[in-house]
Amino acid sequence: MEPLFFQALINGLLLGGVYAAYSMGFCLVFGVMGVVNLAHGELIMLGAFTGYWCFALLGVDPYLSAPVACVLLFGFGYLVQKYVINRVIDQPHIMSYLLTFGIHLIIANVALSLWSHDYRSVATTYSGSGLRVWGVNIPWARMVTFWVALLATGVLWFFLAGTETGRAIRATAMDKEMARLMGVDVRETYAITFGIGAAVTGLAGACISPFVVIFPEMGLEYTITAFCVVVLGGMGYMPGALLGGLFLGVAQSMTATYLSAGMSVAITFVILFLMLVFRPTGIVGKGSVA
Amino acid sequence: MRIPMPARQAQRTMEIRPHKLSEHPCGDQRQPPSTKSSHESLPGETLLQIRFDFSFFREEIFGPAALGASKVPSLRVRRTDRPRPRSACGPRKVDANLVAAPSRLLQKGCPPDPLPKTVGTLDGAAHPDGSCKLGSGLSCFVAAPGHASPGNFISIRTAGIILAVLGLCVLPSFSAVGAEPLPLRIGLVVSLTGVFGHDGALVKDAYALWMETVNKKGGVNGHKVELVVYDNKSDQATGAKLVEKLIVGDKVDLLLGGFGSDQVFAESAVSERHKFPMISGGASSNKLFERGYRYYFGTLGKATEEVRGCVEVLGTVTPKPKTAAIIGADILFTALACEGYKKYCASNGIEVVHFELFPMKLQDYNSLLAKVKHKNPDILLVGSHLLVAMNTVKAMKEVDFSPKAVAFSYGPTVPRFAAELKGDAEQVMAASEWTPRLPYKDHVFGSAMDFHNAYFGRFKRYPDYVEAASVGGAVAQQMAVEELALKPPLKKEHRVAIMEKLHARGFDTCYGRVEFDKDGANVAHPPVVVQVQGGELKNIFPKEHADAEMLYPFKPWKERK
Repeated sequence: MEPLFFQALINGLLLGGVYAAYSMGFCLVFGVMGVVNLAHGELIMLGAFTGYWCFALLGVDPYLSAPVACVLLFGFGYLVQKYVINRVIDQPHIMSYLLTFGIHLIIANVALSLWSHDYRSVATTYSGSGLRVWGVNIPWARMVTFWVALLATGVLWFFLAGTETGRAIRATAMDKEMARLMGVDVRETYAITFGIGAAVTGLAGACISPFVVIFPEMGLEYTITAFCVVVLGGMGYMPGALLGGLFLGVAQSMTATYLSAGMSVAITFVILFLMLVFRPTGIVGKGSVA
Repeated sequence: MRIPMPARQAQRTMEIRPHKLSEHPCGDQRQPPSTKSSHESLPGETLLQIRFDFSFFREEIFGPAALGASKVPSLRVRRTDRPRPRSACGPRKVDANLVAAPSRLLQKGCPPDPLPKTVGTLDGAAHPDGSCKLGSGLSCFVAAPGHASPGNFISIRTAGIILAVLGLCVLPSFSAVGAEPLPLRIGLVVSLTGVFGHDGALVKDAYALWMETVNKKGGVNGHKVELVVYDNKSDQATGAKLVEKLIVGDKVDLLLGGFGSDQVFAESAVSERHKFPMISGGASSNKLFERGYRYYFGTLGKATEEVRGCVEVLGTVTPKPKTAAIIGADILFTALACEGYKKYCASNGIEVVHFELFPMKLQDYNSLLAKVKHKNPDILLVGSHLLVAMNTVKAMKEVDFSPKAVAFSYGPTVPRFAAELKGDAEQVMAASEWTPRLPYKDHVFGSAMDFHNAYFGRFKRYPDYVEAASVGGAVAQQMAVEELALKPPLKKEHRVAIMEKLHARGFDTCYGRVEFDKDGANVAHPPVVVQVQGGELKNIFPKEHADAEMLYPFKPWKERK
C-alpha cells in the first residue's frame, strides 16, 4: 500500500510539472493580453516536433535542442502576435477566440500535410528509464521536465520583476492606456509577450517529446489541459500555473490509482467547474477575474 | 420561360479530382483540386476520385441556402451587393446576384470565351430562397447583361447560344462514354482526418492499390474500376450522410467498407437500407454482426475472436501464466477485445486480477500502469489502437512494469510501432489476422507476399493486416461480380445477387480464405499472433505457419540496454 501511494504521489507531481511547463505560456498570454490562446496546443506540438526532428535528423538530444525550439517559437509567436493577433486585440474577446482557433486549425493542418498523421516518438537511450528510490520509480525525462518547469517559472518571474521589458509587460497588463502614456509601445510589448509565451511553450514541448507520442493533431488536448491548469492556479498569475499544474497532476494521479483511470479525466472537469463557481481567482486567490 | 436544365450532365462536369493520388506518405488527399468530367480519363491519370464535401459544414454554418448556392466548392461564386442596371435584370429577377466565372465552367471542348459575361438571373419561383444550385442547374446562369429583354428572363437567341455551349461541353463526355465501356464506380467513405485519419488513409491506399492493379489487368469484366472517396472526418453521423450521398447522389454501382467499428456501424446501416453490399476490412466489433443484416460483411474476425490467439498461445508456454490484467480504451472495438480476452482467459484457466477500461483521451498512463503493476499479474492484455499501444509501452517502461508477456489487440502490427519505439517494442505481442508469409493466393495480386511487395512498391511502406483484410474484401466482391458476369451500371437485382453470392460461397484471396457466415462475419480465418523480434514482426501463432519461436518471458526493462 505504501509504495503505491508514494508512486502515485510522485507520478502526480511529475505529471503536474509537465502540466505546469506547458501551461505557463498560456498563463502569460492570458494574463497580459486577456487572449485565450486556442492555438496553444499547436505551439507545444511545434516544440515537440522541433525536438523530434532534431533527434531524428541530426541525432541531437531533445533537451539540447530545446533552446532551438525556444528561439524558433519566440520568432513565430512574435510574428503571429505582431501581424495577426494585434489586429483584433482591441476587439471583443470573441474575435481573439475565433482568430486563435483559426490559427490552431491552420497550424495543425499544415503540420498534418507536412508530416502526415503518423504517430512519432523520440526513443533516446534514457527514454523511460529512471531512478528507483524506496520502491518508487522516478523517470529521468519527467524529472528533468519538472525542474525545467520550476526553473522557467523562476526565470519568468525575475524577468517580469527585474527587467525593463518585464516591467513594460506588467505595466501593459495592469493598465494598457496608462502604459501607453508612459511611453510603452503596447503593440510591441504584446508581440514580445506572445513571443515569450510561445518560447516557454516550445521549450516545454521539446522537453516532453521523449515521453509523449507526437503527432500533428495532438494540440487540442493540451490546450484544454492548459486551460484547466490556468483556471486552477489563477488566471494570469504566473506561479499559479505551477500550483495549478501540481494540484491537477496529483488529483488525477490519485484518482487514477485509487478510483479509476476514467474518473481521472472526469475529475479534471469537476474541479474546473467547482473552481469557476466557488473560487474563480484560483487556488491562492491571486488570479484575475475578467 | 424557363430554360431546361440538363442537370445530370452539368453536375458531372463539376467533380473534383486530385492531380495524382497519394504521393503523400499517408495518402493525404489535400492537393490542389481541378475540375474534370467524371467520365473523361486522361492518359496516365488515375481514375480514383476524391470529392471534397463541404456541404454539411456549410449547411450548419450558413443554412440550407448556402448549401444550395455553392455545392461545388471549386466553382468561384461571388455575391455582389451592387445594384444592377435595370437593363441587366428583368423585373421578376430574384435577389441572388450570382456571378460565375465562366472560364472554369467551360471545360475543354468548349469554345474559348474570355469575357466574363454569364450573369445569373434566376426564376424566383423555382428558387424561393434566391439561391442557385450550381451542381444541378448550371444553365440557370444565363445571358450577357443587356441581352435579356425587360420582362422576360432571357431571349430565345441567348438561350440557344447557351444550350449550344452546354451541348459542346457535354459532348466530349458522351463521346468518351461511347468509346470506352462504363466504369464500375465503387463508393468508399473512410476517415482521412480526425482520430482515425491515419488508419483510414491506410485503408484508402489499400483500395487504391487494388483498383490500380485490377485496372492494369483490364478491369472487372472488361470495365475499369473507379473509386469515389469521401472523408467522414472520423464522425459517424457524417459517414452515414456520405454513404447516402454516394448511393443517392453519385449513384455508385457498389460500395466498400471503411475503417473503425463505430463509423462502419453507422455507415452500414445506410447501405443495408439501400440494399448495397458492404464489405469492411477495418471493423470487427461484434455488434456489427448482431443486427440481422444481410448486406454487411466483415473480413476480419470478430473483435472478441481476434484476440483468441493471444491468450491461446500463452496456454502453450511454460511456466504457464496464472493471472492476467486486462486494460483497454473504452471504445467499441477495444472494449470488445477486452471482453474477448476475459472470455478466453476463463477458458484457458487464467485468472483475471484486474480489468479496467479507460477513455481514449487519457493523458496519465503512468498512474494506471503503476496500479496494474501493484496487482502483480503474470501477463498484461491490452485492448488498443496504435496510440494507446504506444502510450502503454512508454508508461510500462516508466513505471518499470515487466509482466511475463504483454499483448495488444491492435497497434504493434502497424510498422510505425516498432519503428518509433525501437528497442522498447521488442517482445511485444499483438493479435493479427495476416502476415505476408502465410500461404494465401488470389488472381489479382498473386500471393500474400506479392501483395506485400506491390504495396511497398507503391507507397514505400509495408501493409498491415487491415490493409490486407480490406483488399481481401474488395477481391471477394470483385470475384462475385465476375462470376455473375455483371456489367455497370449495376441494378438493384444485381446487388441482391452479389449479396447472395457472397453468402453462398467462400473466396480465396491474398488475405486468406474469406467465407461469410449468415451474420456476415468471416468464419474461415484463423487468428494470428505476431511478436516484435529484432525490430520485425514474426508470426508465432498458429504454430503450423509460425516463422519464429515465441520469446517468453518478456525481458524486464532493467535488463534491456
